[in-house]
Amino acid sequence: MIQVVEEALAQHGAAATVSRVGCIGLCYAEPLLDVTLPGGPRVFYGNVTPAAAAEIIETHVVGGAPVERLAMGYIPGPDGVDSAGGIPETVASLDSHPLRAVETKIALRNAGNIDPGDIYQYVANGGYHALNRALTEMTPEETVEQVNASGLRGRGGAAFPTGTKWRFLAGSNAPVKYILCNCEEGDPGAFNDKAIVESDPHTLIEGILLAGYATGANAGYIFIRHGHDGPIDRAREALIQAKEIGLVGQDIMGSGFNFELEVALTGDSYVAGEESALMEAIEGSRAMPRFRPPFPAQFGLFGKPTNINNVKTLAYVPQIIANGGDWFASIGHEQSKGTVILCLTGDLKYTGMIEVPLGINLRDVLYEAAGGVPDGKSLKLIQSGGPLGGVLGADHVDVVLDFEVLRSAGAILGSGGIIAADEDTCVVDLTRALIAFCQYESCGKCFPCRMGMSHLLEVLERICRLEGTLEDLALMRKVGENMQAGSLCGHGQLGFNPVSSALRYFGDEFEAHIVGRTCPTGVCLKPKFSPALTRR
Amino acid sequence: MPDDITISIDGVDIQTQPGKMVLEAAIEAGIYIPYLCYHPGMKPFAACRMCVVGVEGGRGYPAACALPVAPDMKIRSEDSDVQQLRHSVMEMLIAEHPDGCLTCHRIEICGPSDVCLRHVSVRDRCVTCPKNERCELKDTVRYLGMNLESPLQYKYRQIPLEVSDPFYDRDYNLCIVCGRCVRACEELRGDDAICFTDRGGSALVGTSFGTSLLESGCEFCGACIDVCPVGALVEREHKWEKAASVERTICPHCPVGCQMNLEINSLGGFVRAIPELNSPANRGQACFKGKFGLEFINSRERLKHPMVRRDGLLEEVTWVEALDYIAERLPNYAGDSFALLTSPNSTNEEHYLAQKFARLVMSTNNVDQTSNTQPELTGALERSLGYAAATNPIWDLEQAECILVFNSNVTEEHNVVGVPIKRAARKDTKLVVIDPREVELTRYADVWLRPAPGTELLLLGGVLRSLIDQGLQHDDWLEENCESPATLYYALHNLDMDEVSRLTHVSLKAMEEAARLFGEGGAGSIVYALDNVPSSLRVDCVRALIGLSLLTGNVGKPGAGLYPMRQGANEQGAWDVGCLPDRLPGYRSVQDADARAEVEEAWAGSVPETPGIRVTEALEAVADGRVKAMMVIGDGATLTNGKISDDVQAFSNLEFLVVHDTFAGALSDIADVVLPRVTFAEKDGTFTNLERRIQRFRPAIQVTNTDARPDSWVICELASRMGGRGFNFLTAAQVMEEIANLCPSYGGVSYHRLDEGGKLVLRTNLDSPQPTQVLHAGKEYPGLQWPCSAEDAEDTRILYAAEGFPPGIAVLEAPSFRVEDVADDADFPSWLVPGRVLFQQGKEIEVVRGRRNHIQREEQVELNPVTAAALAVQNGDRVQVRTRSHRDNAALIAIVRLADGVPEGVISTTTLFGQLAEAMQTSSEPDAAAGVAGLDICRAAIVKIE
Amino acid sequence: MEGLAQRISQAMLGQEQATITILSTLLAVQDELGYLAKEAIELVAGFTDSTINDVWAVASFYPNFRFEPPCLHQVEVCWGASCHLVGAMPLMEAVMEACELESEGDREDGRLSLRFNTCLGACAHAPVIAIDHHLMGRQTPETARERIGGLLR
Ligand SMILES: Nc1nc2c(c(=O)[nH]1)N[C@H]1C(S)=C(S)[C@@H](COP(=O)(O)OP(=O)(O)OC[C@H]3O[C@@H](n4cnc5c(=O)[nH]c(N)nc54)[C@H](O)[C@@H]3O)O[C@H]1N2
Ligand SMILES: Nc1nc2c(c(=O)[nH]1)N[C@H]1C(S)=C(S)[C@@H](COP(=O)(O)OP(=O)(O)OC[C@H]3O[C@@H](n4cnc5c(=O)[nH]c(N)nc54)[C@H](O)[C@@H]3O)O[C@H]1N2
Ligand SMILES: Cc1cc2nc3c(=O)[nH]c(=O)nc-3n(C[C@H](O)[C@H](O)[C@H](O)COP(=O)(O)O)c2cc1C
Ligand code: SF4
Ligand code: SF4
Ligand code: SF4
Ligand code: SF4
Ligand code: SF4
Ligand code: FES
Ligand code: FES
Ligand SMILES: [Mo]
Repeated sequence: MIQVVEEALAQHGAAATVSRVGCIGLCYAEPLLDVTLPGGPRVFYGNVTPAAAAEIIETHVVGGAPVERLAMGYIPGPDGVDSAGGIPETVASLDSHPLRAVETKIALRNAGNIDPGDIYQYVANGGYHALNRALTEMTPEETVEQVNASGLRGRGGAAFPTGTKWRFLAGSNAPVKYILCNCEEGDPGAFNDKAIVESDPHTLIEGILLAGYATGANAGYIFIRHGHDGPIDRAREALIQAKEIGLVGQDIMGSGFNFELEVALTGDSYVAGEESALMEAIEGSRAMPRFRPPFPAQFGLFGKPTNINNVKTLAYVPQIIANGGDWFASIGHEQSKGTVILCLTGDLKYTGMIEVPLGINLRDVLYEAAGGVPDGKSLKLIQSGGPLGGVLGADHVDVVLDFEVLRSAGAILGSGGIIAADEDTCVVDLTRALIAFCQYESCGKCFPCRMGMSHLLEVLERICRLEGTLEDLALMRKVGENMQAGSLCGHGQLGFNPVSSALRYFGDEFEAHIVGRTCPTGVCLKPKFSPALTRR
Repeated sequence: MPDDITISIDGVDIQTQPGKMVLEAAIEAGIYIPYLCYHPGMKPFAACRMCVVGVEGGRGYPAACALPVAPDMKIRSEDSDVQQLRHSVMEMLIAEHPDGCLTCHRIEICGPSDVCLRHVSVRDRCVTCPKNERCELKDTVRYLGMNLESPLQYKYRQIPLEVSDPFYDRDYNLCIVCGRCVRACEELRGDDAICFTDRGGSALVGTSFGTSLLESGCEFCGACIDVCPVGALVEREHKWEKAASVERTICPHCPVGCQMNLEINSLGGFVRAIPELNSPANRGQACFKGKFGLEFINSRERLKHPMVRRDGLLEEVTWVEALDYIAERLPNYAGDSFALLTSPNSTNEEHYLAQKFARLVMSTNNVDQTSNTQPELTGALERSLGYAAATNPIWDLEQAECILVFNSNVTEEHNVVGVPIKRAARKDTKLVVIDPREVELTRYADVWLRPAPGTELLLLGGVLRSLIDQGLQHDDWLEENCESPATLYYALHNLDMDEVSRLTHVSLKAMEEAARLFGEGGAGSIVYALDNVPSSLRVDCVRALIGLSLLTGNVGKPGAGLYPMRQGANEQGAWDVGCLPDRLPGYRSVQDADARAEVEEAWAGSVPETPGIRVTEALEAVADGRVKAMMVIGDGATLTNGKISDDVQAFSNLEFLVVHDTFAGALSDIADVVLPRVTFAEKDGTFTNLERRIQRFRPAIQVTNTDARPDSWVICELASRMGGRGFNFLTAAQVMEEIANLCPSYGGVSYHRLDEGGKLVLRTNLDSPQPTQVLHAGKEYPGLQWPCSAEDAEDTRILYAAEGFPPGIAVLEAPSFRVEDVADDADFPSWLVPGRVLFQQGKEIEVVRGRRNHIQREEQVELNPVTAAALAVQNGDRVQVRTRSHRDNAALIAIVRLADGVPEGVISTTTLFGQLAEAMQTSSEPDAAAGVAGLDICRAAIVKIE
Repeated sequence: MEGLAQRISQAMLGQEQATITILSTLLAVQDELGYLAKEAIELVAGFTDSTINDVWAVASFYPNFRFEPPCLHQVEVCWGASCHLVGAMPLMEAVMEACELESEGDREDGRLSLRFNTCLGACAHAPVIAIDHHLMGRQTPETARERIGGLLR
């Protein structure tokens, strides 16, 4: 696509800068192309084909007139005035697009607006000011204190208070300490970490540097799954630029603060996202979790004290330092402060990524922002928090997004993936798919998870074949509960969630498969393929 | 020692120390918590979740193996919720494990030969599993008292058996993926010859691409088998045989003195060997030789009856006839025309009796032990510091901050000593290796110095000089503990360092680095051997090494040991009890009149004054007629050494030769009387290992197919027939009493103490059924490390730590730094650099050969590519190697392997025994200092064979 | 063979980051060769100062490694939950049929290999397939059949 655009520009001899920007969240309409004429607004074109791109260049860039037929919206120009000049009436401001209307942007404030490949654009937009402020005006303790006051909690799934975690690390006076940024993001249905790295890597780097300064760490890694070249290349490019201007490395900004940062890759492994497995992977081994204690803050990467945070968690930090912890704490709901970045996928009109304040109603997200379920169908369930999360019945759409609320409902907010499923979805089949994933991804170290996952899958497959028995339900509960109680890491401890929550809200559908020997939605009546049972 | 804390397990209070895990604390207190992935001595893994427990006030069910103890912790291990969790995991385990017997109500009563009433397939039965009755999984199932009606679906893995490796079989259908084997290989052995494979439900263990263990880097130490809780890894020999009893003994193959548990079948035959976990010498480790090399005990080729040669033919006779026959003739040779040689696996008591017999009954000091070919190993130690033995315990090496290994291929020769060295090197300990060949330890080395052959001593000089140049010597310590180092300093200052570097082929920088690592570290240990140091330089090399220890204050403290790598299993003991031609019991000279008087009084007889001949001079003495009669006990093969091996036939010059051995050999073929000898496994006594540890072993095997007897019995019978008094011993313990009286260092040693000193390490009176883990751990017999001078005195872990130096202060003997003549020889342009490999050692390989276990290795010689080019040979060529001192055109035929690591002009081989040993390692010039024949490196030529 | 060893060495040495591990080296080699040859395991062991078994432990853990030379084209189908909900199963059946394969694996003629992926990271465009690492969203059995047909034609 880029190539098409560049060729078209060359052909017309037009003097234009082509920027590859990251995601602005309107994924459903990708690929996106936008044109900004000097002083004018950014005009967005969605679902662009090569032919359309050529037309846009010719008419809009060269000719100066937006292509009304193709434009999906605009963002007002830089002067702040609603200088919609030249924009046809039918083209609306994008800020009124439902996916963007509900947003409060903190971590994603730059995403899609600046060229992530250009550090100066980041700096021009207030980037690295927070770091400068911390280095010049704040002690490490004060920095931790701000994060603590912000009420920020980890966005990697466990929602652990970030300030507390940092204090653990700050408390160690070991000479070498690490900050690890977790961008493994193997959850199907979640892509917000990768999106941040791809669209605004410097926010992340600044966040990591602040974490390093606050905790006294002097080295770090950004951990990304191999093969995701977009974020990997972006992160590496951004690191090179940051190093060149002295923002990463020795004596940062002349403050005497040193921090080395590099990108480490993992092979395909979901469990590699688990904090202790992640350290094993960075060390180059099998991503098998370690037992705790000792905790990473005592014995982490290469045996050194270590702090692990999710990409989103770290991406909030620059704004927290810039605006103060209290400012962040003023957004959100009860114990869940700030915003949450959601990936909306499945049976929704507008799929994509949005950043909304915590405490927002799920209904507003699904029906207002994402346009509800398409094709006049009705919502049946919501799966949140990734494969280790749970399913909720459609009657839960009025819950507010809050870590505690979701947990008590039997799901988790996890890393922000929300999958909506319409009435055609068979819960048993969906549960089977989730457990197939969990058992395929088990690292195989601890016995309950290594074997339990396979047994759960075997039972679910049996039920899907309409061969299940009521004892099978009891069996799943037994296996699952013991996995929960006995597994070494979160994968096995949480891996029963999809089944337990499905049984809780859709028990009758399981019984229909077992007692009625039928699949109410008909999904299981069709032959189906099972991707991977790994039991030998 | 941190203060004790109290925790309670199911209401029982136990004392433990911070830093321990709950499971360890429980085991030590004799409380059983089931476990499958934990194994004593290895880091926790926390995978099997069999050891989960509840903690009062805590969340969830942590694994006890990875749960640190905390003051006043209250643990619940037997409550139903905890047991239920264990049951559930076990149920799943059984759903992927052949479980016919495990799920059968008859499991307690079914015997191996019973017909299965449930028609369970053979592959699913415990009673047909090699691990039956010693299987930890099965015992854990029994402990859990499970009702095994499980709705889970059983699935057999259908993995083909791995039976193509030597020595052991792998059946991964039985594997529970506990990872013990992988962790043992990595963590305990440092080999990484096996690994985890795949993940999730298909996670298993194996090798890279599933290759055979021969290609995976396995050293066949057997550690993985020893820790495997199930039948997945088992020794192939006697695979299905059950142990009727288990006896503790000591491996006779080398001076490490590994304690081994011999499993014995109901017929009294040897089944398998399992190294003892609670042994301070080997800590559960063994090597290929100890693990798989004891099969000779069962050999059918053992000598069975006494034989006397009549009309040129050996005839079977009774013991009485044979003994009478000998007793009638030996008196004719009383005095120095008789010589007696003992074996390296004769016990302390036997060595003592042998020298007493020679001296008292035969009136000669001609008594020696056949492996005693390198007295230089410890001679200088004795003169400088006081004792002819290693200063520190073997596993104290883990405490060292720097270890220097000089000319010792320890991972091959004294394998288990290599284990703590490798473990230390994997942590923070610095390792300096001096060896011209690339050996396993050079891979771990921080600095590897490769002297040109013949320049080892000069290199040590260079290192010492560099140490002083860097000011790393400990002047204050020297001042207080040591006679003036002036002579040594003088010798060192005269060294032209550039010349040293030129001759040794070692850069000054490397010498500096080695000196720095050794001098800067707080505690430095030295491990050394001399086999391949030119004999003329050996004594001085040891002097230089002692110098290095003294200059750096590395004597008399933990982590600072000097370790001579002795040779035979009980060579140390032979020295200690005076089985030497010039020493009486207790290291006193035969020429010392007072010492003689003391011994004479104890023995009520007279002791000759002239020192006797050494093993290395025996052949000459036979040839020139000084010795006319000889008795050789054990290991005739040892006589391949030096000049003796030149010509075993020379022994037919003897008028009378008695051989007491287990197997027929070159010597028994020409002997006048041949007596069948028992093996170590059939006798009672003590060995003293290379760390001065006196360890007791008992008869483990009852031989039924031979009338073999131990040395002690034979000697005492002969002595009494010949009128010797003081040989009426009923037990080995009584002999030890006499040793204790005459050898000050053994003064407090008694069988009583050796046995009572054993402490129970695990409670064994648990309610039945007893899990295997508990049954198998029994008593810990730490033995006694001499000096242990009185009944109520402690033994000595570290020499010179408390008592100081017997000579008063340490004596620094200055070596004269020089090189072995490196004159070129046009006919033999290269140096032959030999070294042994683990898998090559006389009989055990032979015994195993012909059966299924045999490691075949083509003889190889390694050459530097430049040398090879100069000699016009290439990788894979067949060549003939000949040496300057070879005889009868004997030569080694081998395959060339090019290796960058080998220095130019050097031919490196891993074969010391066999062809090459017999033919090429002889030297006629004895070492002036020590009076022994050299086993030198030598000049060699290489020719390609078409 | 000489060439293979050379390429492996170059890939190993060409790693730019400071932290070089068994995993990073394996990834670099696989990026270069498209698979891990037996030689690669040996060379990586030498390069990282470990044994072939240490390397194998890592290589066999991560399913993105393959041990046979790659096929001409690589097809990946996502079976993550987002894709599952909007038709990954019928899509997968169609893809297997079009590839003439019964499951993951290589075609015998070496023209194409099929792999299932747990999430291709483009869930908003579900269901997703990737052909030669090029992501394609909103696939239907028909579009997928057509694209794969194009590869095999
Ligand atoms: N597996 C096994 N173990 C044994 C024995 C056995 O037969 N087999 N025998 C036992 C006995 S009896 C003994 S004496 C000990 C011997 O124990 P060691 O003396 O340790 O044994 P070697 O392997 O002969 O030699 C040690 C090292 O000398 C190096 N070397 C070779 N040539 C030269 C040279 O010219 N100069 C220098 N400086 N070094 C050289 C070799 O590379 C080798 O690493 O081992 C005991 N342990
Ligand atoms: N050319 C050459 N010759 C050498 C050497 C060399 O380097 N080069 N090294 C020399 C040295 S240092 C030594 S120590 C010798 C080693 O030569 P040997 O003393 O012959 O040593 P091993 O090969 O260890 O043989 C000992 C045999 O005794 C058996 N054995 C073990 N325990 C018992 C027991 O309790 N009773 C009986 N009866 N048998 C038992 C073992 O199975 C083994 O086969 O070789 C010497 N000869
Ligand atoms: C099986 C498993 C997979 C995980 N994967 C991820 C992941 O992909 N990304 C992530 O940030 N955290 C993941 N986590 C959570 C991490 O262990 C860890 O809690 C988190 O990175 C900490 O960062 P935070 O405090 O910023 O949330 C995973 C946890 C488990 C148990
Ligand atoms: S719970 Fe599963 S993923 Fe976690 S350590 Fe155990 S086997 Fe591995
Ligand atoms: S390994 Fe143990 S449980 Fe398994 S078949 Fe053998 S004896 Fe029975
Ligand atoms: S025998 Fe020893 S070296 Fe071989 S795999 Fe087992 S533990 Fe490793
Ligand atoms: S082979 Fe034995 S020790 Fe190794 S993982 Fe399997 S059961 Fe455990
Ligand atoms: S190290 Fe020595 S004593 Fe120990 S098993 Fe090996 S040969 Fe026997
Ligand atoms: S023994 Fe504790 S988890 Fe296996
Ligand atoms: S679930 Fe298919 S791309 Fe993420
Ligand atoms: Mo020896």
